Amino acid sequence: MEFSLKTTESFNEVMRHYLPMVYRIAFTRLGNAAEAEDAAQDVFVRYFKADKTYQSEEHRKAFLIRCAVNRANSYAKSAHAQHTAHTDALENLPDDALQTGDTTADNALKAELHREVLEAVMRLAPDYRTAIYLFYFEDMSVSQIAEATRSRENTVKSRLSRAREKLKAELSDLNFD
Amino acid sequence: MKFSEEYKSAMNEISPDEKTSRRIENAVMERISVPAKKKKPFYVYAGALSGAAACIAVLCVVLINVNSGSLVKDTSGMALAPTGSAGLLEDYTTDASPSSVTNETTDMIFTESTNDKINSFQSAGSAGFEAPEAEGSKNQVSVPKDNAVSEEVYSIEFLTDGTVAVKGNGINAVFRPDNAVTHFTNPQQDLSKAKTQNGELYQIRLESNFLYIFGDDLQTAECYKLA
Repeated sequence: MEFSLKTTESFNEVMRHYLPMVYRIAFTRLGNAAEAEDAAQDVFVRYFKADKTYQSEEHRKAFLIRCAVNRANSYAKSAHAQHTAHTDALENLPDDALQTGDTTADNALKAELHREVLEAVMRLAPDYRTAIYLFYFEDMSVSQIAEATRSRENTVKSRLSRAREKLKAELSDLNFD
Repeated sequence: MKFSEEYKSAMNEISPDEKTSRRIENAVMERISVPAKKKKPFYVYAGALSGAAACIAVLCVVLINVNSGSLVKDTSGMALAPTGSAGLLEDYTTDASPSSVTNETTDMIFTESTNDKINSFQSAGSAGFEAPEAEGSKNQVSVPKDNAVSEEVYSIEFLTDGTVAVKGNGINAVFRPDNAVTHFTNPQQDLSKAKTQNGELYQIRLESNFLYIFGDDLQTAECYKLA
């Protein structure tokens, strides 16, 4: 069975379904909400123009992940990005990114914890961040990540392993399992 | 406490909210609708026309569109054109037929389909309206017949205020954007050709007081309403 724009759900539905993922991948790479938005736009325009037929929904997802990673990399290398010199992606986190709106003490602590986690991840190298996102958030296997990012499985394993080591050191006071 | 759970929660919180998602979706839809209007599907064919032959051919087409047949004879423009360039022009227009440019494109955007036309427009009512003249023209305005396919090439001009002037075949009218994109389920065959002064060729349909400018898929059309 083949999945195609022509035979399955509309482009709008695909966009609605995958937009959060594409945005998060771009944000993970760029650390900047505005640029993540622009990159997400580009990804879906490219997806529309590609008008490919996909063997499965997994292939569609992999295509979008690749597009998102590539587009975010291009943005990161662009003249504008170089000019604005994102020396620290954390500075570009939106102020209200981790605010739940609930001001109770527990939620404030939770928000602080989430910020620490996110900041630790954002301090990793871009390729590590993407691997961490796909593994922990999208629950993708090493082989799926390798396919989606056009990398070798050993490379993905290595990125994940190093990223975990760094995170463990960064977040040692939080006592994660 | 698990890292994966806390990380997921953190990432969920920076996911785009409804407003951001809608903004991105709208921007994407706007961007993908632009090629339907602005793409120059026949531009590559123009490259086949070289040097003076191309200039003469374009000039002849413009004269044919703007003026009546008798005026063309008076200008002797056709007589100046060498046989070779006339042949080239013929090849050019022939190659630009819908069948040769129909691409494999999409059937998917813009809501549900009820019949052939997905985004139907408001019925235009009777065809007996008076179309306003294009600025600066003294030609008599006539009413475009519904879905009339013309063998003659219309002259089309994208004006700076966003309107589109269409002349030729006894028609001289200005259309304003209707901010709608019409999507057909099949490539449309019964289309007329329209050419800008720069030689860009478009496939159009004049239907009552609406003008449709088709993209190279011949399925997606920008809609304009008589100004």
